Amino acid sequence: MNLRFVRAVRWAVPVAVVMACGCADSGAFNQVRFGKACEGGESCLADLGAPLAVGASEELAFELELSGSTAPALSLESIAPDVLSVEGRRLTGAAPGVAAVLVNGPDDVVVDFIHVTVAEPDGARLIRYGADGSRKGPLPESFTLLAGDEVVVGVELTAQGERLAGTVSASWSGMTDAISVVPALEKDRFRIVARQEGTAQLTAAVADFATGMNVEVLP
Amino acid sequence: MTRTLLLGLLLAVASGCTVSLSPISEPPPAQVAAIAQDPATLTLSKGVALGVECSDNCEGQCRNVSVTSGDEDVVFVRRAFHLTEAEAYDGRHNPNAYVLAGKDVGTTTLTVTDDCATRVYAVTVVEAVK
Repeated sequence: MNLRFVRAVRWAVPVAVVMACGCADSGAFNQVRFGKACEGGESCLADLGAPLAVGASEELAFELELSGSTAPALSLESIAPDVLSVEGRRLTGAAPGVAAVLVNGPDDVVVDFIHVTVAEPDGARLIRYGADGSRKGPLPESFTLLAGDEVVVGVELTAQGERLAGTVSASWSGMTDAISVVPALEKDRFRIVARQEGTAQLTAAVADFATGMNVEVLP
Repeated sequence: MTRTLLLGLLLAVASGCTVSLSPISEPPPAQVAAIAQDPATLTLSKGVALGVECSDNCEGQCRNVSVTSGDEDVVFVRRAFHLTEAEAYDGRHNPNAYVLAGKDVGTTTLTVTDDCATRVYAVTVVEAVK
């Protein structure tokens, strides 16, 4: 074991870090806090909160919880790459199962680990997000906007009706002169923009699934 | 080499010295990570990791520990950095912590040796519940 590393933190004790989001998961040793990386480089760690979908990816953020020491160089490693692959901090679901993700310090000493479940998706749905980025829930199949309105949506994969974590690329069809769909600043979200009076039947295709909505725009 | 190891093992058994690994973490729901001492067995679901620490009945804390897998493709072993509030370590780093992980379905052995004794665990890695 790296003695400098041990000496640097041997007097340290785990401390409860108050996160802005307050919903990250602790590792098995309570020495690292894990979560989904937030947009804009924020320091908060949002809860993964669901199994990762096969074919989807998630950027995993983590913070070492040791007082009296800055973090040494850390790397992630998957126990079962055939279930969950790791590239840098990016996790990608490969097959249903479970895989421990190790946080390795100097000399490959394990500082902590977390188990990630990977599940096969059986559907997709559209989710509405608020202006503050908060998740507002599933989007109705039909709704009405006024010209000039816009709605931020995301596409998420599901298994037996339950949300799966991870982002996958989505492609949209059905746009008209009345409705545009443009990527939002957040990488996995889209803006539905009402441009003028009319209707559109929008469809988002993601992985092997498609989900859609009917939109009417009033003047 | 084998004869020396066997002799050491017999002497340790005869003298009542034992060494063992105990869990310091939990498996995820529905998955298996179980370690037993008599008989010495370790069962893990594929993809699951288990934190363990070494203890013996000579000094309590193991000295000069080695934990070795008979097949790293079935179960692999890593040293762990584990801070503990346990009285024995006065809130400091536990030098005898390891992480064992089920790499693939199969059977093998896990041998733990310290200055006190040697114990060989029969290891089974089973398919994870999906």
